[in-house]
Amino acid sequence: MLDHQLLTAKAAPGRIAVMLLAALLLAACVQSDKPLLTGTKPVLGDQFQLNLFDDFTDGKADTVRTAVFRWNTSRYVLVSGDLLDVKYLVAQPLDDSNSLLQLGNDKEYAYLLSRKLAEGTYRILPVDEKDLDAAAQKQNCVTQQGEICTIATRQQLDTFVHASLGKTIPYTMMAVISAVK
Amino acid sequence: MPDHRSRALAGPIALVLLAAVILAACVQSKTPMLTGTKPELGNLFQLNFFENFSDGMAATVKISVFRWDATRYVHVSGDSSEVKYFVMEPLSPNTFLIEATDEKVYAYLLAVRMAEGIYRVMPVDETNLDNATQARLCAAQSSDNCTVSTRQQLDAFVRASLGKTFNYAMFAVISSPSN
Repeated sequence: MLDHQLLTAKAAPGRIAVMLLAALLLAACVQSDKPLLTGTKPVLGDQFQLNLFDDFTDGKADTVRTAVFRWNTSRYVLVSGDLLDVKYLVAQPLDDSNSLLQLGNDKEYAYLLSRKLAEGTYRILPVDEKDLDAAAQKQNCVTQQGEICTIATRQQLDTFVHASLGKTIPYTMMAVISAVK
Repeated sequence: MPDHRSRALAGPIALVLLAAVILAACVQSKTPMLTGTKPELGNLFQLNFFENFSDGMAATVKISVFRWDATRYVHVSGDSSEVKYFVMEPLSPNTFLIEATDEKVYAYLLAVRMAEGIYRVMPVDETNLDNATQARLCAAQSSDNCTVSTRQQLDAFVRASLGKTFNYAMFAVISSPSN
Protein backbone atom coordinates (compact mmCIF):
# COMPACT_ATOMS: atom_id res chain seq x y z
CA MET A 1 0.00 0.00 0.00
CA LEU A 2 1.10 3.51 -0.73
CA ASP A 3 1.67 5.91 2.06
CA HIS A 4 -0.60 8.65 0.80
CA GLN A 5 0.81 11.07 3.31
CA LEU A 6 3.93 10.99 1.22
CA LEU A 7 1.95 12.36 -1.69
CA THR A 8 1.92 15.70 -0.01
CA ALA A 9 5.72 15.82 0.13
CA LYS A 10 7.19 18.02 -2.58
CA ALA A 11 10.71 16.88 -3.24
CA ALA A 12 12.60 18.85 -5.84
CA PRO A 13 13.42 16.83 -8.93
CA GLY A 14 17.07 15.79 -9.05
CA ARG A 15 19.63 16.74 -11.66
CA ILE A 16 19.58 13.46 -13.53
CA ALA A 17 15.84 13.56 -13.97
CA VAL A 18 15.91 17.17 -15.06
CA MET A 19 18.67 16.54 -17.57
CA LEU A 20 17.08 13.38 -18.87
CA LEU A 21 13.88 15.30 -19.19
CA ALA A 22 15.68 17.94 -21.21
CA ALA A 23 17.32 15.22 -23.27
CA LEU A 24 14.02 13.56 -23.98
CA LEU A 25 12.30 16.86 -24.62
CA LEU A 26 8.63 16.64 -23.83
CA ALA A 27 8.61 13.22 -22.26
CA ALA A 28 8.00 12.78 -18.57
CA CYS A 29 10.35 10.92 -16.26
CA VAL A 30 10.05 8.43 -13.44
CA GLN A 31 12.67 8.56 -10.72
CA SER A 32 13.32 7.32 -7.20
CA ASP A 33 15.44 8.39 -4.27
CA LYS A 34 16.92 4.94 -3.78
CA PRO A 35 17.74 2.11 -6.20
CA LEU A 36 14.82 -0.19 -6.93
CA LEU A 37 16.52 -2.77 -9.15
CA THR A 38 18.29 -5.55 -7.28
CA GLY A 39 20.16 -8.66 -8.28
CA THR A 40 21.20 -7.24 -11.62
CA LYS A 41 24.04 -8.81 -13.60
CA PRO A 42 26.80 -7.44 -15.82
CA VAL A 43 24.74 -7.94 -18.96
CA LEU A 44 27.06 -5.66 -20.95
CA GLY A 45 30.28 -7.38 -19.86
CA ASP A 46 32.84 -6.27 -17.31
CA GLN A 47 33.38 -2.91 -18.94
CA PHE A 48 32.13 -1.04 -21.97
CA GLN A 49 32.00 2.32 -23.66
CA LEU A 50 28.55 3.83 -23.99
CA ASN A 51 28.15 5.99 -27.09
CA LEU A 52 24.95 7.96 -26.67
CA PHE A 53 23.41 9.93 -29.51
CA ASP A 54 20.43 12.20 -29.11
CA ASP A 55 18.81 15.45 -30.09
CA PHE A 56 18.43 14.32 -33.71
CA THR A 57 17.47 17.02 -36.17
CA ASP A 58 17.67 16.88 -39.95
CA GLY A 59 18.88 13.30 -39.77
CA LYS A 60 21.81 13.81 -37.44
CA ALA A 61 22.48 13.78 -33.73
CA ASP A 62 23.34 17.17 -32.31
CA THR A 63 24.53 15.64 -29.06
CA VAL A 64 27.05 12.83 -28.72
CA ARG A 65 28.20 11.62 -25.33
CA THR A 66 30.66 8.88 -24.53
CA ALA A 67 31.25 7.31 -21.15
CA VAL A 68 33.08 4.24 -19.89
CA PHE A 69 31.49 2.03 -17.27
CA ARG A 70 33.01 -0.85 -15.31
CA TRP A 71 31.15 -3.51 -13.34
CA ASN A 72 31.81 -3.32 -9.62
CA THR A 73 30.14 -6.10 -7.66
CA SER A 74 26.54 -5.03 -8.10
CA ARG A 75 26.44 -2.22 -10.65
CA TYR A 76 28.26 -0.46 -13.45
CA VAL A 77 30.28 2.47 -12.17
CA LEU A 78 31.24 5.44 -14.32
CA VAL A 79 34.99 5.36 -14.99
CA SER A 80 35.33 8.24 -17.40
CA GLY A 81 33.33 10.49 -19.65
CA ASP A 82 30.21 12.51 -19.15
CA LEU A 83 26.72 11.13 -18.93
CA LEU A 84 24.34 13.68 -17.47
CA ASP A 85 25.63 13.38 -13.90
CA VAL A 86 25.10 9.62 -13.93
CA LYS A 87 27.55 7.65 -11.76
CA TYR A 88 25.94 4.24 -11.69
CA LEU A 89 24.01 2.13 -14.13
CA VAL A 90 22.30 -1.24 -14.01
CA ALA A 91 20.26 -3.01 -16.67
CA GLN A 92 17.64 -5.64 -16.12
CA PRO A 93 16.37 -7.64 -19.10
CA LEU A 94 12.58 -7.60 -19.42
CA ASP A 95 12.44 -9.84 -22.47
CA ASP A 96 14.66 -10.70 -25.45
CA SER A 97 14.63 -7.15 -26.79
CA ASN A 98 13.81 -4.82 -23.92
CA SER A 99 15.70 -3.93 -20.79
CA LEU A 100 14.96 -1.64 -17.89
CA LEU A 101 17.78 0.77 -17.08
CA GLN A 102 18.39 2.43 -13.76
CA LEU A 103 20.76 5.38 -13.98
CA GLY A 104 21.75 7.09 -10.79
CA ASN A 105 24.12 8.87 -8.53
CA ASP A 106 24.13 9.00 -4.77
CA LYS A 107 20.95 11.07 -4.63
CA GLU A 108 18.55 9.91 -7.30
CA TYR A 109 17.82 7.18 -9.79
CA ALA A 110 16.07 7.62 -13.11
CA TYR A 111 14.48 4.89 -15.22
CA LEU A 112 14.71 4.27 -18.94
CA LEU A 113 13.88 1.48 -21.33
CA SER A 114 16.31 0.19 -23.93
CA ARG A 115 15.07 -1.59 -27.00
CA LYS A 116 17.62 -3.69 -28.83
CA LEU A 117 17.74 -2.90 -32.54
CA ALA A 118 20.72 -5.10 -33.27
CA GLU A 119 23.76 -6.42 -31.45
CA GLY A 120 25.13 -3.62 -29.30
CA THR A 121 22.69 -1.06 -30.69
CA TYR A 122 19.76 0.20 -28.64
CA ARG A 123 17.01 2.75 -28.83
CA ILE A 124 16.57 4.45 -25.47
CA LEU A 125 13.11 5.48 -24.34
CA PRO A 126 11.85 6.99 -21.13
CA VAL A 127 9.72 5.26 -18.57
CA ASP A 128 7.10 7.90 -19.11
CA GLU A 129 4.68 8.74 -16.33
CA LYS A 130 2.24 10.04 -18.94
CA ASP A 131 1.70 6.53 -20.24
CA LEU A 132 -0.64 6.18 -17.25
CA ASP A 133 -3.70 8.34 -16.78
CA ALA A 134 -3.71 11.16 -14.26
CA ALA A 135 -5.46 9.10 -11.59
CA ALA A 136 -2.99 6.23 -11.90
CA GLN A 137 -0.09 8.68 -11.85
CA LYS A 138 -1.42 10.17 -8.65
CA GLN A 139 -1.83 6.73 -7.16
CA ASN A 140 1.67 5.56 -8.06
CA CYS A 141 3.79 8.68 -7.69
CA VAL A 142 4.95 9.46 -4.17
CA THR A 143 5.57 12.97 -5.39
CA GLN A 144 4.85 14.60 -8.69
CA GLN A 145 6.49 17.79 -9.77
CA GLY A 146 6.19 19.14 -13.24
CA GLU A 147 7.04 16.30 -15.61
CA ILE A 148 8.77 14.19 -12.98
CA CYS A 149 7.18 11.45 -10.92
CA THR A 150 9.07 10.12 -7.91
CA ILE A 151 8.29 6.58 -6.90
CA ALA A 152 9.32 4.57 -3.85
CA THR A 153 8.63 0.91 -4.62
CA ARG A 154 9.43 -1.61 -7.29
CA GLN A 155 5.72 -2.22 -7.70
CA GLN A 156 5.15 1.41 -8.58
CA LEU A 157 8.05 1.28 -11.00
CA ASP A 158 6.71 -1.86 -12.65
CA THR A 159 3.34 -0.23 -13.15
CA PHE A 160 4.95 2.59 -15.14
CA VAL A 161 7.27 0.18 -16.97
CA HIS A 162 4.36 -1.98 -18.12
CA ALA A 163 2.57 1.12 -19.35
CA SER A 164 5.60 2.41 -21.27
CA LEU A 165 6.71 -0.88 -22.88
CA GLY A 166 6.08 -0.85 -26.60
CA LYS A 167 5.32 2.86 -26.68
CA THR A 168 7.28 5.19 -28.90
CA ILE A 169 7.99 8.88 -28.51
CA PRO A 170 8.76 11.35 -31.29
CA TYR A 171 12.32 11.69 -30.12
CA THR A 172 15.32 9.51 -30.85
CA MET A 173 18.01 8.59 -28.37
CA MET A 174 20.37 5.85 -29.46
CA ALA A 175 23.07 3.97 -27.59
CA VAL A 176 25.81 1.94 -29.20
CA ILE A 177 27.99 -0.19 -26.97
CA SER A 178 31.66 -0.51 -27.88
CA ALA A 179 34.76 -2.03 -26.39
CA VAL A 180 36.96 0.17 -24.21
CA LYS A 181 40.13 1.24 -26.00
CA MET B 1 30.77 -7.50 -72.89
CA PRO B 2 32.83 -8.12 -69.78
CA ASP B 3 36.38 -9.22 -70.25
CA HIS B 4 36.48 -12.44 -68.28
CA ARG B 5 40.21 -12.79 -68.85
CA SER B 6 41.05 -9.76 -66.76
CA ARG B 7 41.57 -10.43 -63.09
CA ALA B 8 42.06 -7.11 -61.38
CA LEU B 9 43.62 -6.98 -57.95
CA ALA B 10 41.32 -5.68 -55.27
CA GLY B 11 41.97 -2.03 -54.52
CA PRO B 12 42.85 -0.88 -51.01
CA ILE B 13 39.37 0.40 -50.28
CA ALA B 14 37.78 -2.84 -51.37
CA LEU B 15 40.25 -4.76 -49.25
CA VAL B 16 39.50 -2.56 -46.27
CA LEU B 17 35.77 -2.94 -46.76
CA LEU B 18 36.23 -6.62 -47.33
CA ALA B 19 38.17 -6.92 -44.11
CA ALA B 20 35.41 -5.00 -42.45
CA VAL B 21 32.72 -7.32 -43.65
CA ILE B 22 34.90 -10.35 -43.16
CA LEU B 23 33.68 -13.20 -45.34
CA ALA B 24 31.48 -11.20 -47.63
CA ALA B 25 32.36 -10.56 -51.22
CA CYS B 26 32.45 -7.02 -52.57
CA VAL B 27 31.23 -5.40 -55.73
CA GLN B 28 33.47 -2.63 -56.98
CA SER B 29 34.18 -0.60 -60.09
CA LYS B 30 37.06 1.40 -61.50
CA THR B 31 34.92 4.37 -62.47
CA PRO B 32 32.01 5.99 -60.64
CA MET B 33 28.61 4.58 -61.49
CA LEU B 34 26.34 6.85 -59.48
CA THR B 35 25.56 10.25 -60.95
CA GLY B 36 23.39 13.15 -59.97
CA THR B 37 23.52 12.35 -56.28
CA LYS B 38 22.52 14.87 -53.64
CA PRO B 39 23.77 15.73 -50.15
CA GLU B 40 21.38 13.35 -48.41
CA LEU B 41 23.17 13.81 -45.09
CA GLY B 42 23.45 17.58 -45.22
CA ASN B 43 26.50 19.65 -46.04
CA LEU B 44 28.70 18.57 -43.16
CA PHE B 45 28.45 15.65 -40.77
CA GLN B 46 30.35 13.32 -38.51
CA LEU B 47 30.22 9.64 -39.34
CA ASN B 48 30.35 7.43 -36.25
CA PHE B 49 31.02 3.97 -37.59
CA PHE B 50 30.69 0.85 -35.43
CA GLU B 51 31.63 -2.64 -36.56
CA ASN B 52 33.20 -5.93 -35.62
CA PHE B 53 30.56 -6.65 -32.99
CA SER B 54 31.16 -9.50 -30.59
CA ASP B 55 29.73 -10.20 -27.16
CA GLY B 56 27.27 -7.37 -27.66
CA MET B 57 29.74 -4.58 -28.34
CA ALA B 58 31.59 -3.06 -31.24
CA ALA B 59 35.31 -3.82 -31.19
CA THR B 60 35.95 -1.15 -33.81
CA VAL B 61 34.78 2.45 -33.75
CA LYS B 62 35.82 4.88 -36.47
CA ILE B 63 34.92 8.53 -36.43
CA SER B 64 35.34 10.78 -39.45
CA VAL B 65 33.98 14.03 -40.84
CA PHE B 66 32.74 14.52 -44.40
CA ARG B 67 31.76 17.67 -46.26
CA TRP B 68 29.66 17.98 -49.41
CA ASP B 69 31.64 19.43 -52.27
CA ALA B 70 29.44 20.13 -55.30
CA THR B 71 28.96 16.50 -56.36
CA ARG B 72 30.17 14.26 -53.56
CA TYR B 73 31.08 13.98 -49.91
CA VAL B 74 34.78 14.64 -49.31
CA HIS B 75 36.67 13.23 -46.34
CA VAL B 76 37.74 16.08 -44.07
CA SER B 77 39.23 14.37 -41.03
CA GLY B 78 39.29 11.20 -38.98
CA ASP B 79 39.55 7.51 -39.78
CA SER B 80 37.41 6.63 -42.77
CA SER B 81 38.98 3.30 -43.77
CA GLU B 82 40.75 5.00 -46.68
CA VAL B 83 37.51 6.37 -48.07
CA LYS B 84 38.22 9.79 -49.58
CA TYR B 85 34.88 10.39 -51.25
CA PHE B 86 31.44 8.90 -51.23
CA VAL B 87 27.98 9.49 -52.58
CA MET B 88 24.66 7.94 -51.72
CA GLU B 89 21.56 7.40 -53.80
CA PRO B 90 18.12 6.72 -52.32
CA LEU B 91 16.65 3.41 -53.50
CA SER B 92 13.59 3.73 -51.28
CA PRO B 93 12.70 5.99 -48.35
CA ASN B 94 14.87 3.91 -46.00
CA THR B 95 17.44 2.27 -48.24
CA PHE B 96 20.44 3.89 -49.90
CA LEU B 97 23.14 2.74 -52.28
CA ILE B 98 26.56 4.04 -51.29
CA GLU B 99 29.55 4.44 -53.58
CA ALA B 100 32.74 4.90 -51.59
CA THR B 101 36.13 5.46 -53.12
CA ASP B 102 39.79 6.08 -52.47
CA GLU B 103 40.00 7.46 -56.04
CA LYS B 104 41.33 4.15 -57.28
CA VAL B 105 38.45 1.80 -56.68
CA TYR B 106 34.74 2.46 -56.10
CA ALA B 107 33.10 0.07 -53.66
CA TYR B 108 29.36 -0.39 -53.19
CA LEU B 109 27.42 -0.71 -49.98
CA LEU B 110 23.80 -0.58 -48.89
CA ALA B 111 22.63 1.55 -45.97
CA VAL B 112 19.30 0.78 -44.35
CA ARG B 113 17.90 3.50 -42.11
CA MET B 114 16.82 2.03 -38.77
CA ALA B 115 15.86 5.33 -37.17
CA GLU B 116 16.64 8.98 -37.81
CA GLY B 117 20.40 9.21 -38.32
CA ILE B 118 21.03 5.49 -37.71
CA TYR B 119 21.94 3.18 -40.57
CA ARG B 120 22.80 -0.46 -40.86
CA VAL B 121 25.49 -0.82 -43.52
CA MET B 122 25.90 -3.94 -45.62
CA PRO B 123 27.93 -4.82 -48.66
CA VAL B 124 26.54 -5.23 -52.12
CA ASP B 125 27.48 -8.89 -52.06
CA GLU B 126 28.34 -10.65 -55.29
CA THR B 127 27.48 -14.03 -53.77
CA ASN B 128 23.83 -13.07 -53.69
CA LEU B 129 23.83 -14.06 -57.35
CA ASP B 130 24.73 -17.52 -58.58
CA ASN B 131 28.13 -18.30 -60.05
CA ALA B 132 26.97 -18.21 -63.65
CA THR B 133 25.38 -14.80 -63.20
CA GLN B 134 28.44 -13.52 -61.38
CA ALA B 135 30.63 -14.68 -64.26
CA ARG B 136 28.34 -12.95 -66.72
CA LEU B 137 28.11 -9.65 -64.84
CA CYS B 138 31.58 -9.23 -63.39
CA ALA B 139 34.03 -7.61 -65.78
CA ALA B 140 36.71 -9.01 -63.53
CA GLN B 141 36.39 -11.36 -60.61
CA SER B 142 38.77 -12.51 -57.91
CA SER B 143 37.99 -14.76 -55.01
CA ASP B 144 36.83 -11.84 -52.92
CA ASN B 145 35.45 -9.23 -55.24
CA CYS B 146 33.66 -8.56 -58.45
CA THR B 147 34.49 -5.57 -60.62
CA VAL B 148 31.57 -4.21 -62.60
CA SER B 149 31.81 -1.76 -65.45
CA THR B 150 28.22 -0.66 -66.05
CA ARG B 151 25.38 0.65 -63.94
CA GLN B 152 23.24 -2.19 -65.23
CA GLN B 153 25.67 -4.75 -63.83
CA LEU B 154 25.79 -2.89 -60.53
CA ASP B 155 22.01 -2.73 -60.34
CA ALA B 156 21.73 -6.48 -60.83
CA PHE B 157 23.92 -7.06 -57.77
CA VAL B 158 22.12 -4.34 -55.80
CA ARG B 159 18.72 -5.89 -56.49
CA ALA B 160 20.04 -9.27 -55.41
CA SER B 161 21.41 -7.84 -52.17
CA LEU B 162 18.38 -5.76 -51.21
CA GLY B 163 16.46 -7.20 -48.30
CA LYS B 164 19.09 -9.83 -47.61
CA THR B 165 20.30 -10.25 -44.08
CA PHE B 166 23.95 -10.29 -43.41
CA ASN B 167 25.75 -12.05 -40.61
CA TYR B 168 27.93 -9.10 -39.69
CA ALA B 169 26.83 -5.82 -38.22
CA MET B 170 28.09 -2.41 -39.26
CA PHE B 171 26.27 0.67 -38.03
CA ALA B 172 26.69 4.28 -38.97
CA VAL B 173 25.36 7.00 -36.71
CA ILE B 174 25.32 10.47 -38.22
CA SER B 175 25.99 13.40 -35.92
CA SER B 176 26.94 17.02 -36.09
CA PRO B 177 30.75 17.36 -36.09
CA SER B 178 32.11 17.68 -32.58
CA ASN B 179 34.28 20.71 -31.95
